[in-house]
Amino acid sequence: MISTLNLLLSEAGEITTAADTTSKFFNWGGTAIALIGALLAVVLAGIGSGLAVKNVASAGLGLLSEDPKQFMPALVLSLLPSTQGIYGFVIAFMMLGKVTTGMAYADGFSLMLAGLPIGVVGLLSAICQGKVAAAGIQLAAKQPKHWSRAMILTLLVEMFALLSFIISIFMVNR
Amino acid sequence: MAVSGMRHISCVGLMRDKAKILDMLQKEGVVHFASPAEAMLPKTAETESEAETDIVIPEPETLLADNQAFIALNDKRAKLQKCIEELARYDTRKKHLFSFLRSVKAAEVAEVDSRADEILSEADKIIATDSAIKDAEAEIARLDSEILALGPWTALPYAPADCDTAHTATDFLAAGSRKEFEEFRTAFLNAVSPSDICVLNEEKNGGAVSFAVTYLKSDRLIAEKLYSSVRVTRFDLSGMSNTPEAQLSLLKAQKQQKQDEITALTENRKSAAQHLSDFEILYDSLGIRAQKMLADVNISDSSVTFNFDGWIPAKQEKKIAAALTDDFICHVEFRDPAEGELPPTKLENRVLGSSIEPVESLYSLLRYGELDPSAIAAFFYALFFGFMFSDAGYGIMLTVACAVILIKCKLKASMKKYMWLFLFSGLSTIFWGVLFGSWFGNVVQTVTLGKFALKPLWFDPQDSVNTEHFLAFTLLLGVIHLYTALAMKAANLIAKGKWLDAVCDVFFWYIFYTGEILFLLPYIPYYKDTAFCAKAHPYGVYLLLAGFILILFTKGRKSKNPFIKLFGGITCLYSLVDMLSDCLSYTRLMAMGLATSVIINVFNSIAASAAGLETAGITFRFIIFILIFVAANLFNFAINALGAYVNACRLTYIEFFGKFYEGDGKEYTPLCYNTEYISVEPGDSAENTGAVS
Repeated sequence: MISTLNLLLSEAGEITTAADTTSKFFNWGGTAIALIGALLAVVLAGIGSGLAVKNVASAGLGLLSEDPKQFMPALVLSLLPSTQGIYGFVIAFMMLGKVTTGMAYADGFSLMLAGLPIGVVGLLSAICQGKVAAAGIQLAAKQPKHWSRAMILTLLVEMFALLSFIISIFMVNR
Repeated sequence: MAVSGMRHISCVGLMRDKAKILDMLQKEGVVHFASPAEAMLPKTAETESEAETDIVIPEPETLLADNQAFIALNDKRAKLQKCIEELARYDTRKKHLFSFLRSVKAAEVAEVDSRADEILSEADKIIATDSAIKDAEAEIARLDSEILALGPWTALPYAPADCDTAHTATDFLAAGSRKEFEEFRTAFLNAVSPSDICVLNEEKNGGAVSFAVTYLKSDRLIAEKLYSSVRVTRFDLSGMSNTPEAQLSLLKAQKQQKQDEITALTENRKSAAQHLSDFEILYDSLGIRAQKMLADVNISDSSVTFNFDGWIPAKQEKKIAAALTDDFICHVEFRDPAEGELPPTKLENRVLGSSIEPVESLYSLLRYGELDPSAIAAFFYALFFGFMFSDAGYGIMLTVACAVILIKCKLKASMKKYMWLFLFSGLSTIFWGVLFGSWFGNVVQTVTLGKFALKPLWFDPQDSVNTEHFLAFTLLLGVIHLYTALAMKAANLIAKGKWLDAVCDVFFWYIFYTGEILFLLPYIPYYKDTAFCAKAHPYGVYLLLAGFILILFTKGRKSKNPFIKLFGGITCLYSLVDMLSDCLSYTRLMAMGLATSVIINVFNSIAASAAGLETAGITFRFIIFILIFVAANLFNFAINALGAYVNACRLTYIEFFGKFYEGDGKEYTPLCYNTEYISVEPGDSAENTGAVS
């Protein structure tokens, strides 16, 4: 009998704690979730750009080992997929400006969603853009005069990161 | 803003004057020699482009591939170029960041030319020195590996060659580790007796052990069998008649000797750098001669006369005619381009227009007869570059840097044009920076702790209330750019007298697109709340419908298929999506513009908190602020200038040129002094020009 009561009490105690946690979560969770959104924007886009730049820059070094005069194409093509990382960074920074302590759960959640367009599209488009830019390095190796066309075609991929960037800005500033 | 009008030139002259005439033409630098094969191309306007792809006119270089004199000339140039590259790092002359041409008097070129053999033998010496240095370096690498291999045996007090006696043999072995050595020792001492093992070197922590074993010669077979069954490596030192110690010092002495040799050779090369100027002059002088040989390919010779065809800018006609007929016995004829002929394109622009020519040529060379869009393209290029860079501080940096380079350095033509383009872009950057109130971001506000801030003349794009306004403005700029491109298309058609095409292919599209824009206006942020939108929106539908019907019935007018003739325009519906995506492409202006200013502000606040500005105010730690501020801004400047450059290029190429630019023109390559290191200043006497012949 006593043991059952103890059990009930302890269960009740646990429930109180859980409710406590939940209410704390609702009080402070908005901030945390918004921060997660900022984190996703900068981290995902950054990973994408990092991977892409790695690929292109390695191909660029290969080109340079053959022809050191081709530094300009190698540099420009390597830098192109880095913009997604910058966009992610800018969005994260804009989001940090909006995060307040104790912001409402719904506000935090909608702020977090604002980080996703540039985060996700930035990640994938940077990787894809890296592939195009690496192919552009091949073009620069074979047709040094026409590397600017590789630059333009590489920029076509960036368009999509740009669109998500704009949407992210609007979502942050809502 | 113009493509220079071209005149066809035909000239017949006497062979005895040929060399002098070529010299004169090269000095004038305006005659573009046409290949005799070009004259044989069919001359109908319609088939012209197809005919060109069918008949390949060989490049002059290919025609000269077997010419011994040309090959010898190029060999000499290759040799000189190699020397110039080798000696570049010992060059003590004043260096510039950008490549530029050194002015050299024609007399000096002639003087260098007369010493050509001497200079070339000097070049041979430098190349020999270079290979001697490479040999010595390879020898040092070989000695290094020998020295390394000898290391474990230095404890041996005898010469390895003296170790064998009449009855005993000595082998030098190494085991991978102490454990393996112990295993070998036990096995060896058991199997081969009498014998002795002497450890000469042992690496730390149970590493490799080098040792010598001595045994009776009669046991050699057993010993050798054991070496292969147990894992030890045998070293053959039998040829060494010195003790390893002595051998080591011998090798080190050899290495030192080689190093001294390299030092001496390098010193020698440093002193050879004084010839660099001669090499450069001779390289270009030979190049000038090679260009003349290449032009000569297009000249037809008979025993007494020669004749050539070519193109010259109309403005130069009188001058060249006078130069040819006054001093020489020549017959010269000029005429306008015949129908179907494609003269080379020579762009003639003032500063603004010419500044974008290098960017344009990366896209495609303008076709002769097209209107030159350079000035308009350059204006928009600079406008967009500035919008994306959008910081007055950066704009001042860019403008000043370009101005200084333009004033201080004698640049190559294309580099000079780029500098002008960036100068204009810099001015535009200042303009937008002032409008948006960004002077190195908010540095003034940061340093004065918010007491003082430079207010934007127009609005602050970073303020969230202005986001929609900012986006809407970029779209407006895009529409203006796209409409200008369409206007260029109309102008090109009108210039060719195709009025009907201009109306059907441009004017109807204006109606169509304007209808689309007005129709979509209520969905575009910022504009949707304007009074204009409410008024104009209803007309959008009418314009859109009118445009659609007009295009539907006119787009297929050139087709012979009656169905396409009537309804060929149905595909124009897809152009609605095209127009939309073209407009959206201009949102990059907003993205890049925001990226620049947000990043500067982030760096400013990082620098401020690192220097403790907010808590302590301006203290001695302000120097930290300056250091971070300078480094971060240089980084941001570089990365965003590159971003603005490529994105402005893209808007120019795809959105602007894509609408009307035909391209695929022929490059205007007159016979001239085309040099890499020097610019030849014409001398005052006639014989100077003969010097480079």
